[in-house]
Amino acid sequence: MKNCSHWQETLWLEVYGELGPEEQQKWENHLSTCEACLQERKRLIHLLENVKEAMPEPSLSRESARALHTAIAEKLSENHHRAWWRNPFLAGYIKPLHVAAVCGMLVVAFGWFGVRGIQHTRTVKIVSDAGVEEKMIVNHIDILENLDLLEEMDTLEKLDQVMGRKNTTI
Amino acid sequence: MSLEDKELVARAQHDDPSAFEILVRRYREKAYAIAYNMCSGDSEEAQELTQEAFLRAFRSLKNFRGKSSFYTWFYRILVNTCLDSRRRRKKWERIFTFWRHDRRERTDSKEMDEDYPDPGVNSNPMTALNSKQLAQEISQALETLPEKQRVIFQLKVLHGMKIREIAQIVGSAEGTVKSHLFRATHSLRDALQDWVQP
Repeated sequence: MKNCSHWQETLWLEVYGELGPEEQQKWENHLSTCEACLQERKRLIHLLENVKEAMPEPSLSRESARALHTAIAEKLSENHHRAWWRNPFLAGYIKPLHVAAVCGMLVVAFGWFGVRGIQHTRTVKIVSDAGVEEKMIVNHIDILENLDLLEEMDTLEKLDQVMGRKNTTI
Repeated sequence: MSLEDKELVARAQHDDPSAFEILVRRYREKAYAIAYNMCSGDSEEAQELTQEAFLRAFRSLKNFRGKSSFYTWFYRILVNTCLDSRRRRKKWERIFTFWRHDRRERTDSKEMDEDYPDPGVNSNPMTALNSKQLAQEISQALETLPEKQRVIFQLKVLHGMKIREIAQIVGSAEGTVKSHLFRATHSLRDALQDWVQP
């Protein structure tokens, strides 16, 4: 026999003591006619009673309670007399650890960009050196392109000189 | 918020040590009970967590505006403290001792199987098992629940709080709390079948 599914929430709310007076009346009317819901209610109440019995609320012993009081009082007075540099910043929202972490990150970031900055100027210098070399290459590009022709002309000139000497001797 | 709590909070906000003391005395028992149930019955850990929750609450008392009652605000801090500790513990357990935990679990389940009588032999399990064993079984069933369901179920069933109060403590809507509570009850009802029959 199954209990009515649409009454299930009401059943649980009633068992947990959360049902309003109006719903309570309707629920009681339903219970008087529905055996399945009545049985389910009994089972649920029984389960919750078992849970409560098996896990009763623990209580603090007198010594433990005293120790708790003392520890809290000591820690609170420590807080009041704490050195200014140990106090958390902005009412505890920013802790020294957070500040240290941010400082560390800033050091790393500035260090990184600083190094990159130096490298950057060095590269500018390298680029400017390369520019001078490039200009020199452009200026002498005609010579470089016609290097073979020049070598050939040089050979012909030498040959001409040799031939000229031979003619004068004959 | 009762007038007395309001007064005490106002005095505590002006660093009146006697107000702190009264507040601790007023809420220590309930706070300890909640912490005890949330850290699976370890009384030392429960005391430490109760102390930590009180200290956290008193340190941030100046930020308390009185929109909710002091005790729901304080229990919220307590529940969060317990959950943080539990998560930390679980994380370390997973990292370092997962194999040991696994072995222990296997041994425990084996031991429990041996301890429990055959359901067929005894028709009423309540008479056969003592409350300690029942508590163990309930604890195990609670451990299988998702975190929020477990907390809500404990606050409702073990500490008798109203759904409205629980909603403020866990920071959820009342409907969400109801839904979690019903799911938890349903899961436990299934897990503890033997204990359901009157």
